[in-house]
Amino acid sequence: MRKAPPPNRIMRKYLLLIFYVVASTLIGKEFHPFSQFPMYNSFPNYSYVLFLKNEKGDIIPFGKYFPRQKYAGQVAHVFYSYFTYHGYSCGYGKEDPVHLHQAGKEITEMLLKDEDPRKFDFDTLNLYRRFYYLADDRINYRDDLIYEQGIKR
Amino acid sequence: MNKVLSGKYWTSYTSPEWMAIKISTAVFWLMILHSSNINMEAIPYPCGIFSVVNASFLASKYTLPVSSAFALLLAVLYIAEKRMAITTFLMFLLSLVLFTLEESNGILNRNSLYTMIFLAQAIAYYRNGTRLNEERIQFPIQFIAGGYILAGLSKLKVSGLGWVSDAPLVSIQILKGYCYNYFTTGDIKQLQRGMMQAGFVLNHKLIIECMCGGSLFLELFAWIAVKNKLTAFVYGVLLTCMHIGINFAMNILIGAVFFPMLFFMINPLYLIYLLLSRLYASLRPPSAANTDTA
Repeated sequence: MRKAPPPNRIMRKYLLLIFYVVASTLIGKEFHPFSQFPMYNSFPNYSYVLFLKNEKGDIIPFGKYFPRQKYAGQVAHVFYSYFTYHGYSCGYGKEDPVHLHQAGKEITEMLLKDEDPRKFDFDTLNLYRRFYYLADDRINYRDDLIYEQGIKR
Repeated sequence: MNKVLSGKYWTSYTSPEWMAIKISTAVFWLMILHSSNINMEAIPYPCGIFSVVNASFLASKYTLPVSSAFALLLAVLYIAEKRMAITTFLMFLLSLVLFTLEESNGILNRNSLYTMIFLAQAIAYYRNGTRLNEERIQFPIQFIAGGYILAGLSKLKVSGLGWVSDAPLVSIQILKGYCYNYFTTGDIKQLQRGMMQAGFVLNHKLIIECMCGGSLFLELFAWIAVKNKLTAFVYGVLLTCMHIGINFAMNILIGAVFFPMLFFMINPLYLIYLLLSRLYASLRPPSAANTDTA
């Protein structure tokens, strides 16, 4: 019969794993490189997507006018970071309108920073938040205008 | 390929294997650093070390060129196996600063494992023990497995076992992923594909619940991968299947978690090298092979 390895050898083999799991759990929040890897740790009945429209109501694709760092996924990250950083509640389409407007303002400023306005072929940048939710086994959504910014070309 | 199937392959790590891991790791590290530290001329949401230390001086137009040049130099030293204890520690520090800078800009790409991999290698090289060849790969695997376990624990902590039964709600998360593509490209097909995929989830709840249950199980038992090279490989294959499933169903691939796992547990670059060597040997004329043998 094979002899089991001594407990201290097993501990040594798993020491870094135990350290990482325990330290990240004790820290209890995101503190790079300690993380609880919270991606999709719950499935709430809402999901948000931010998007742009011009003054005519046409979709403005992020990829057409902005670099990769300002695509829809990244913009959504900034949206959530705004609420997390300020400790404001976020979700289920129930944000405080003042917070929502301020988040929209910061995101729009981030989008337009370092961009040459002459490349835009629209006069107004409207930032919308789409709120998806499930009701009676059907997917529904609601679009809310959260910020409007005129473009000076 | 016979080498892979023989028992000997699973007992130790060879130099070509280590080289393949280093090349994969360094190239991917440079790629994610390059994409993370562009447009970082401000720190609007300080987090991590920047919530403790004021690092506003880092938010400048010089951060990108200086850090890119430094990262390139470190990657070359890393692949060339030069002063590894210092090189890997500096790679850890650079990752720590730049990824924290990225997160402090509100972009959460979950690059923690990459930072920890270099710390693990720095520890292995600092120890410089008789089992260095194994520890420089096994130590990072410990952090990678730890990451998966943390992800599983986080699900249990926040949602409990209800995480599995709530799985049909993933349909609106799936739609979100496709919507990101639609609003980025303007391609309506992305939205249609998302609606179709979300509809599939709602119509096949049991399949999705089984997939989520399987994923949670794999995450919580990721410590098995640490045991030895064989368990790391087998577990790596299972985790790869999980990531492919998630990518297929939800259109999401968290590269900063998936790729380190792939490089250290499966090492595809080395498998390709083995395959090509085998192919090359079989294509060579017998006389050349005989000469070599002689």
